[in-house]
Amino acid sequence: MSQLESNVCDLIDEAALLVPSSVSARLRALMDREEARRPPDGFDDFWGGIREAAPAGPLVRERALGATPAATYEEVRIPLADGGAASARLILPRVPAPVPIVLMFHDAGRPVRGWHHMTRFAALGAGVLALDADSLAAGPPREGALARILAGGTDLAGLSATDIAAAEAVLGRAAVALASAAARLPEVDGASLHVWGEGLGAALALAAAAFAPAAVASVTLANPRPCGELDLPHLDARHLAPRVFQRALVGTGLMDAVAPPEGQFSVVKLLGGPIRHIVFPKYAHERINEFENAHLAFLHTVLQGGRSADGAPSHPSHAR
Amino acid sequence: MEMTPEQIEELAGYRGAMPCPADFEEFWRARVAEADAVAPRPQIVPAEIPPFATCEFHDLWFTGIAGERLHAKYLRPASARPVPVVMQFHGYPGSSRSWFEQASFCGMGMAVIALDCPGQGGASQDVGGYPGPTVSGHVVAGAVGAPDDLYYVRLHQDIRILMRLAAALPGIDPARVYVNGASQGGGLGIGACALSPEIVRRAAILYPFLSDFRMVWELDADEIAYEGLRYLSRWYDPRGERMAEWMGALAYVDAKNLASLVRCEVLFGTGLADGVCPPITQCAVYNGLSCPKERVLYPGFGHEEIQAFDDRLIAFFTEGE
Repeated sequence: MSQLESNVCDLIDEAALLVPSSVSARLRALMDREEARRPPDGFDDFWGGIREAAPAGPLVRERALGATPAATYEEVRIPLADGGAASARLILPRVPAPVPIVLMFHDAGRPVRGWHHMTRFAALGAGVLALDADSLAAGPPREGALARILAGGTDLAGLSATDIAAAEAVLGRAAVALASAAARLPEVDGASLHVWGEGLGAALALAAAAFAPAAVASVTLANPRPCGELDLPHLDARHLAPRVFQRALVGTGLMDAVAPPEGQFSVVKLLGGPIRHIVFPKYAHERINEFENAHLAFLHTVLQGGRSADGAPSHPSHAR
Repeated sequence: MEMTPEQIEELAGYRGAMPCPADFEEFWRARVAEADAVAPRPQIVPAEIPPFATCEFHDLWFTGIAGERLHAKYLRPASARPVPVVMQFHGYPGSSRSWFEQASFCGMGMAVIALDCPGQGGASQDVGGYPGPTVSGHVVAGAVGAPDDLYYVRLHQDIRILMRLAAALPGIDPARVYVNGASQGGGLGIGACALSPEIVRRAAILYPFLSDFRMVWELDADEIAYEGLRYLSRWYDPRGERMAEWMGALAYVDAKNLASLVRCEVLFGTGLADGVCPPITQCAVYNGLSCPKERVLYPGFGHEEIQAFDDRLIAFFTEGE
């Protein structure tokens, strides 16, 4: 059973429970919901064909921006087993190798995060390898279902189950291959991979944590989806969560109208390892400054000598 | 309605809708002298974020022009040599945002000092006492009194104090002090460069707020961040008979006027669909800069995160340095 640390109880006022629509009543209902979630038939077969997916060939690395005294910036092309390729952004700090690395997965409806945004990881002495999911939607069979999923909409009407599963496979394979690719980088400490996903990216982060052959040490999720609002049975975060046992940090905006809090709470309850869940009562599906602070503190724990869910020490990559 | 690059080009001679006060430079020389006479009593303490081997996090406290205690996030990379520092100013009515966000500058090998504007979302103290209405935002706080009483005059003086303090910090290279800000941060950034020209080397300014107040009012853009202008119009000056008085006061903090005092190199960004800080008001600021400058236009972008501009900061603050 996972260990859960959460601020939910601190937010509940007993008198306000009288009103069903109050923040307190909603939180109590979310806490008390029973979770008995079964993945769809064929879920294990689907991932069995993807797990341990490795890049189908050598990585191609090209300089993207001029290096600074503190970091280098590259575009990485990762060939995939289905004949396609994924693009990713790689930033490495100019400190002695090997370095820990964060595998970053962006949300639907937005592009991969900017170079300046992601340079924050170099400040910590960590690299970042961020999947550009939109690069997967170029060319057949990737247009259509995949493009609609990545556009951020919730309407997949007209798409067949086969098309949806094919799109899920492209995304899932890319997520798992990203982790494998990161572990292969000569500058990277393969024992210190940390996944971080926002929105739809959270599902990809969970997939990497659950199925990558490279050992992922920690998981950070912000407003994870899909969790029921979008018919993606193989990428549903609620189905992936029970297969993830690493230490996790999860942030939820209680006013989130894109990733329903009900589904996010299900994800938290179904994760298999120690979890810190922070609920932000007056935030929606958005960046949350205080969650970024929590993420920074969490990375300090997992990068600077904390322990993973199985009790093994994180690689002391910054031991002095 | 979105502007086109051609329309922006046609505004190359536009300098704003109100004249600059005749005693503008004299006014600010006096305000800067007042600020320079303040003993800042800086205090740097470890922040709640524990240090990494490569980066440290501190809370910086100092005394402002009205005796208030002001706060800034202070992050610095581990380095045996003095490092550059970015003076970071935030949007209205927010705060210095997250430690993690500011850490991007440390990832570029730079320290960063991110001020919390008093009375807004961060920890800085606002001792108030502004004459006139304060209910409708800081933009008009003090606008019915003498210009010295304006919130933003006081804040520019606080920033002058901080700039001198920052340049003198141990481990900071005083020859490489940079400024970065968007929206309110852009307007304050212009002021920081204008009032500390001997300190700032380069500045990145994105869609500045606090610009060309009269044109904002003319366009009915006196809402959202500029809502105080409409409030003051409706409750204090419904017939518009006192415009010269209160708009005249605001002219002392108008970024289009402060721009003329800027000497450092400036990178300037505008989203052409900006509905909060109208592009024409930003033109007044940009056209008022007589320093080395470059402007980048972003079609289709409003008053929102512009990743492409943020990415330019990496080269702008590091190349040739």
